[in-house]
Amino acid sequence: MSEVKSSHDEEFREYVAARSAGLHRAAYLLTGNWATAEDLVQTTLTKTYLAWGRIRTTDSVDAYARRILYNTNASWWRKRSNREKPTEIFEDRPDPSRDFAEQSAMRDAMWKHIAALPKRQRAVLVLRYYENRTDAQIAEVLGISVGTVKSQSSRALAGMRKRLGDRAGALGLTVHPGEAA
Amino acid sequence: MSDDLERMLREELSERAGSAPVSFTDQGLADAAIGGAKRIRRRRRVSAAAGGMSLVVLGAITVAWQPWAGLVQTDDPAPTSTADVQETLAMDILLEDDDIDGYAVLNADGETIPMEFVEGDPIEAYRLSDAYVVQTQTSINVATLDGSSAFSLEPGVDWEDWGTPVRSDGEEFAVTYVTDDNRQSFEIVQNSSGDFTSEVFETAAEISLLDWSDSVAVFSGDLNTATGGVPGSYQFNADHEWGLEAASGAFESVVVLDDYNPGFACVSDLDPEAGTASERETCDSVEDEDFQQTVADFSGDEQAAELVERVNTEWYGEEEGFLEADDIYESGEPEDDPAFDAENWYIAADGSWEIYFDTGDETWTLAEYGEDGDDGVEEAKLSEFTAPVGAVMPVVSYG
Repeated sequence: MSEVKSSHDEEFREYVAARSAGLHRAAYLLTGNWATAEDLVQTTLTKTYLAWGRIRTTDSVDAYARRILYNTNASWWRKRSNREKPTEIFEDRPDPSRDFAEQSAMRDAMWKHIAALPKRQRAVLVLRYYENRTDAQIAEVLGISVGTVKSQSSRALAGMRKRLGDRAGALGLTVHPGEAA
Repeated sequence: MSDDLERMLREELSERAGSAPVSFTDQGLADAAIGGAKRIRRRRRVSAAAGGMSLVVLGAITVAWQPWAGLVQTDDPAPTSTADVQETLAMDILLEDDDIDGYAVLNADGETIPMEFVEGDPIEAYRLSDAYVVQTQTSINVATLDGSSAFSLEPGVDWEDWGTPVRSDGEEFAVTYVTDDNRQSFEIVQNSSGDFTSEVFETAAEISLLDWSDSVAVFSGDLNTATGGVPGSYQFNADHEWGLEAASGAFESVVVLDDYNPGFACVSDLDPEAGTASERETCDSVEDEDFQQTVADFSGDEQAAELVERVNTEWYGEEEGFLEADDIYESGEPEDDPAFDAENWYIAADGSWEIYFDTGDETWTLAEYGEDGDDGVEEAKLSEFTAPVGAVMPVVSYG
């Protein structure tokens, strides 16, 4: 039995080595704070290990871990909401490499807008535009319907277009307010 | 990508994600997760035992979890006799009995109860108020306390995938697992003077059975999606397609505690005539008097609300809640936990003792928990005892 446990542990270590960077990046986009992201990933991996014996032989280990990541983040929000506000936990990150000040300003504004979004809307954006997941996949990860995914995404983009519309226009970028249902 | 905004959004998220300030190749990450998970399993057992629940895989982890600390170990663990341990802790021990060429229970009174019907290596054994349950990797074996009557269940799934929650009063236990079509199967096993019967039903897989009585079953699940945490009448059962009505053969009502709003719950009347829709599904704080009366009315049991409130306190009380990563970091190194490397590890249903040993060890390590220390940290004392010949594992008692 101990050899089996050791083998399972080694498999888990290999999984962590292969996937933790990706989990950290997604966690950062969800939390806006690297320290919190590390906490979130550590908790996610702990929960994943708890189910390791059940999921290790399936091809959905990574999907399981990501579901834990997103849902744990949602629960943390509910617990921590009294002491942390979204605009406080996101870090402004100046990026001197950008050549165009206006575009940089717009990106920063976009980041701040993402920071202010409700957690579910932010999660939908991260899954759709960072992880390139389909709406069906997003629905499965978040445990919501595809319709909810679409409505949450539309709502998030609509707010962003409204907030960034004037600045985008000044930069000559195309932003379609009509798409936001 | 339908416009520049979405393209920019992709670029911004990608760049932000790529700006990681640290390397993520730290091997300690996996080891910390493994160590933390093992502690959680132990605490889950303690918490589950207090709530009458054994090892059930939960959709959302809402376990009590305290950092391991305060274990008091003197120069050497004090030796203790097996008889003293069994008498003091009222502990039965499962052993291999050469006389019957099979398994037996050595009870706290020193009597040997044959369990020769158990085939295969036992992986867990516990004692209900009037039955023993011995699980192997293929079957769940149930016997009266004198061994005179027994039967076996074969869930048909891998043993790691079934759970056996125990009712907090030790009167019944259930076998539950997720089916191939992602439904959750329950079989509530009852023992009436050696006449074993069971009630079978299925629900959705995303809810977890925490405890139950003859009248009400208490589950946990996500109520926030359907209710937003706002009291009122909802069709949460239909909204989530949980299929709670399937439990009407076993219970009068079902209460679901909200994983996301501790203290918030919904109750569904399973009365087949009344149905489970709308006005028969009420949500509110478990402490609300009107809600408690509704639970009592739906259940036809004035004690039902007490069970709901107790389960809520045990699973969602102040000392319980979602696992926080801070807890892991503050708990010390994983190897500080004496259970970290133990191959076998068993915990009393009331959390009063733990036993660690590797298979084949003649000596078992016992940790007995005492009162909290002056600093409020849980304390325990270690001792060792020589296990009875052929000892396999302690039998965990419920009820």
